Amino acid sequence: MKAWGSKIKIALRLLRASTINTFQSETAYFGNNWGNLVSTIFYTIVQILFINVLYSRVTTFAGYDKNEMFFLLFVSQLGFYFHWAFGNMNHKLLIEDVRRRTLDFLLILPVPALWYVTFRKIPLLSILRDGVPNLIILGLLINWSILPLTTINVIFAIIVFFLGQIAWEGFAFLLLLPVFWQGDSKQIYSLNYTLRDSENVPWEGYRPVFQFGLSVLIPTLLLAMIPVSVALGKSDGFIMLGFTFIIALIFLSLKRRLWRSALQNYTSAS
Amino acid sequence: MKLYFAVVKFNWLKILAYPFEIIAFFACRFAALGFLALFWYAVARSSGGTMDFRPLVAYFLVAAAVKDLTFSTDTKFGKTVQVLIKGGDISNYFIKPTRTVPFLLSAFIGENGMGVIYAIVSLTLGLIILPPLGLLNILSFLVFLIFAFVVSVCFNLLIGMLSFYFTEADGFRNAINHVIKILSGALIPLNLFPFWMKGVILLLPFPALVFTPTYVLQNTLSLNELSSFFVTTLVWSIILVIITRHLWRYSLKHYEGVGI
Repeated sequence: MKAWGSKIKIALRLLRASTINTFQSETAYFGNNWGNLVSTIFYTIVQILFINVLYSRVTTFAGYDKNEMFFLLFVSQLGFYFHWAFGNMNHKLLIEDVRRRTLDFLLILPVPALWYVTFRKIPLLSILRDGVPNLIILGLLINWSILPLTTINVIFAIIVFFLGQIAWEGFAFLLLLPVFWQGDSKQIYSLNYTLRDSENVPWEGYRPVFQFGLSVLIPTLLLAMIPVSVALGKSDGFIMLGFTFIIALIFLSLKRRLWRSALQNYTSAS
Repeated sequence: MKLYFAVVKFNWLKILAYPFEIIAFFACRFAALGFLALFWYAVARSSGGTMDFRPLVAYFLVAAAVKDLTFSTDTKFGKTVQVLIKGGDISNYFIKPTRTVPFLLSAFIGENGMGVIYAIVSLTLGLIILPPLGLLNILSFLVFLIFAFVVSVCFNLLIGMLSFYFTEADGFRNAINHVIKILSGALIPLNLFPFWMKGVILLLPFPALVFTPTYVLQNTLSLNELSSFFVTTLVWSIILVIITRHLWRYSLKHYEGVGI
């Protein structure tokens, strides 16, 4: 019990140090902060324009009206920033560490290695700077009062959302691991961005075979599609909760197992 | 010219050193294509027959090919230039007895040879799904493809040059990318925009990157329409080339590199 307490204490200390360190490096290029802010606002405008143009041609898309589609975009953006904060940046750093054979410096640190490579950088400033304006604009566009949200469905949806994030982080982590065997995995890892694009189509717009493939084999629909479907009462929250829990567990355990196997294959000249 | 071909070849061979990355590249592109098809299939189904799935998919296949053939996809060449300026590595190219921009562009083309191969596959598929209506379409496509290349190189360099002024300019590049994506017709065909909006967008340089070459290949063209496209694209190409050349020379005077 004492050992576990000490482990958790180290993990939390690491999280704090990572957050502070990332903040310091993020504020190094001040001008670029404005560039990123402009980028986020442009992105949001582009997405809004896209949905408006789309709904000038259709009244509902896969059973979703324009307001529900904005809600879907809101959740998918939330997921994007979440994954960006806790996954993307650290995954890319790990690929570079293995490529340059600098992972040794990290492995000799007296910290849990997998935890550290997962949470090494937490770009708090980037998330606030890029995510908040985007989400505020989208949040203001949504007519929340007409969305068929109930408390129980929203609770289920939030849990499903977090489980989906865990599953996706695990999946994306698996995509970077070939760097240990092949020497590079940037292209393989970039599959993670491509597969995320499926977010444009609501869960109900997929045929069952795609629903299965894109949630069990590639858990992309767990990021926003399923949570939104649950929140809107279009899917059974209880069933989806059990389903995403199992998927998250599978990807988490795959991540741990393959990480160990990857480390055994790691060689360097130190 | 021979030197630039050698640079293309050398950089292409570097890419071939990682065969799994090549497989992953194609997997990535085909996955993107699959999702795009799924998305527009769902849109076409929801439109109640007012939108046809086939021309939409053909449009995006040709559009993807145009983007890859002219290197406008995510302005990656611009990013390469930004990285070189930011790290000071561009000094290594300035001291070479070659012209810097063609040298950098050749290296980039070599590194992105897989994109060109994918573009050919994508273009072929697009042509099979929706064959061109006549010889005029094919000739117009080739002409506008050259224009698209010129405009794309100019945009990439302008974006790259931002790093002369802001050391880290990735955010600005992303912002411009979002604008290019929607206004070039890469995200949604300009035909789907409201009429007035389409008219305004067509006066800008962005459609020359994707929409114009794709449109002239797949649609019946009136002389008026074709000449309007031609004049707009030509004027913007000239303006952009002049601005880019001028700004490149001007920016170089402000560049400070660290000697070895």
